[in-house]
Amino acid sequence: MKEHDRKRSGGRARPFLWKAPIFAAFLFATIVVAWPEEKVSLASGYVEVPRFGIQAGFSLSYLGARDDSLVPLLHGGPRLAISPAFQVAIGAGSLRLEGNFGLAYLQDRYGDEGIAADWDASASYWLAPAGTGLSPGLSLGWDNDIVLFADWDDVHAYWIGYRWIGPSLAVKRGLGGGWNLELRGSLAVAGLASRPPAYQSSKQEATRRVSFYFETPNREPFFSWIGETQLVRASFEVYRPGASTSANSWTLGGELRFARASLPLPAYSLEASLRAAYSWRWR
Amino acid sequence: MKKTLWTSVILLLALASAGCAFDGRVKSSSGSTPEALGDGWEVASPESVGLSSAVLDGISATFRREDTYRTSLSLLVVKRGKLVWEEYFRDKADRDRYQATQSVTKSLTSILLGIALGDSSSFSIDKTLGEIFPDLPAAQAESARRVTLRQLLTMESGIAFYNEEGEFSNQMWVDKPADPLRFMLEKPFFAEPGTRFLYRDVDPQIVGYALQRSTGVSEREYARSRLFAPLGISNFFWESGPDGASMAAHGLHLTPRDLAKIGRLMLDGGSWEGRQLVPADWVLASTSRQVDTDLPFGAGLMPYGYYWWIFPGLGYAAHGSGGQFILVLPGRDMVIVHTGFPHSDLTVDDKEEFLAIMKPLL
Repeated sequence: MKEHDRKRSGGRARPFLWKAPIFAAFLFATIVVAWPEEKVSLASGYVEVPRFGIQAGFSLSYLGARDDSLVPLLHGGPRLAISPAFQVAIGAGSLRLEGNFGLAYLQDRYGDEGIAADWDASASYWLAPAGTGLSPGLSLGWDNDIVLFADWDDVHAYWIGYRWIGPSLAVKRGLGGGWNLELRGSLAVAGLASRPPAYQSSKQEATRRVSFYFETPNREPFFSWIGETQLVRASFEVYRPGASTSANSWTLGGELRFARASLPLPAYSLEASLRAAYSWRWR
Repeated sequence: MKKTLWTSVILLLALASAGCAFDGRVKSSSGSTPEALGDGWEVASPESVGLSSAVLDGISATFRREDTYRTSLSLLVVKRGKLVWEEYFRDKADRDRYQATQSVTKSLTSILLGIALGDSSSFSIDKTLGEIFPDLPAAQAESARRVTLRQLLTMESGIAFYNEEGEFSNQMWVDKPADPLRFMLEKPFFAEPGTRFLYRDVDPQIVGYALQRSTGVSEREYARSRLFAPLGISNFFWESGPDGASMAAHGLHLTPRDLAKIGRLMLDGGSWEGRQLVPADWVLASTSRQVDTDLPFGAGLMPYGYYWWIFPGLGYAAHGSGGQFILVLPGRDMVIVHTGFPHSDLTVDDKEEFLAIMKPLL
């Protein structure tokens, strides 16, 4: 951190140590209890699907972003994203690789405009589900949120970049009638974070270059952990696989993603998405 | 199944709306009474210098609003050498934070050039770039070699390197040419030097190089030793380009109180606490009409000095984008400073609009 950054941050960062796990637990619990009347055992209701799957998804989301490094106003608006995924059974467990590439148009409460670009990639491995359908796992992720609060700062970008590792949880349930429900969640506990400097120079940034959006969220990465940077994802999918020899299907689902960075000043990103995807599956 | 889907949609919408809980406020007034900090400012009440607190409060209230002037950060009023009004609209801590002054930097470049001119009998504003930089490559455009400092100071160099669409900023600070001075001087010309005013960053940036060549140190270092130290200014930041040269058109970051010191220095003819820091004749020349700009003002065009905007019959101002103003009113023995978010135009960023808001003080 440069000298003027240190001067500006002035020790105002507020660790979020105790709130993050509570928030994550709340999200998991909320989603799980949303379907209490339809709980069935994995064995009795879940329709087994083939070992390999590729998914092409499209999301419509609400994105809210705020970065106190600039202004503590929430900028929110619609986001469109594409979400490819690949899943394969390995042993009794399963590996899922997925990504999201999104663009959003944002406004604050006064109508001041901004745009956001986000991209992420993650790899999660879950152990074989227990009788309850719960599968503990581990995730590696690379999340990048870049916001141009254009009316508040027309020359700089603001971002939360995080390469992280953390536990994850998957739940598979049958809903009856051949429908499957899958819940997935992950929580970042440590990683390499990147944030804009506490104080911006007056130099124009290269926001017109596509490469900027891939390079920027990796600038001057620093070690961070859940006490400083919080990232939690929770998603669900509902689908009805076809016959076992051709289990391709449409999938409907949703995802909630929350990121918060406390350094050099707090920043937040909240996505709530509805997703439609098509899955191709092979044995 | 339907219930499941509806539940999930409602759940997601509810969580999305919970995002509103993250909304915050921009403005939080610090109050307006200046504190004596031992930083060279004597403080007083408005009434003690013949001003009305109610009038000042009415003006300040304009900037306290979040719906119209939401990026306003500070308003300071100096009268008879005393700081009588000091309000920070976002956070009182802005008092001690420097921030980008944007094109107010140009006015500081002018002041520093004035000091350097006063130091040297051989350095004058009628020197050409060919004389100042004799080592320019022979192939350098002859037009560039004939440009004088005076033409650069009045934005009349004719060099076709524009501010629009971030052209100057992108090419100079993003693309980072290996030799920025040569890069600027190799640009084509849109007019013969000395024939047409056009506000651009390239002219003061070249002046910055001339200043550096004349003094042998960067503009930042020259400012620190010759101007800021005597004024008691230590909390500043001056950005530099890829070759280490200071950004002379928009790279200086100062606190609002220190901006007010610059205004008071000019008001006092370049003198600070009895010490002549800037030649008085330079202060007079740089704040007098040297050229008419292309900006309408009243019934005519706004005059321009040497990087100072002139308001005939009222005074003059340094002005940077985002609402950075040092307004000097010699007839009123007054300096008014306003600052805003430096990269936004969501506050007053027009000189005539600013004067209109200040009308009760004029």
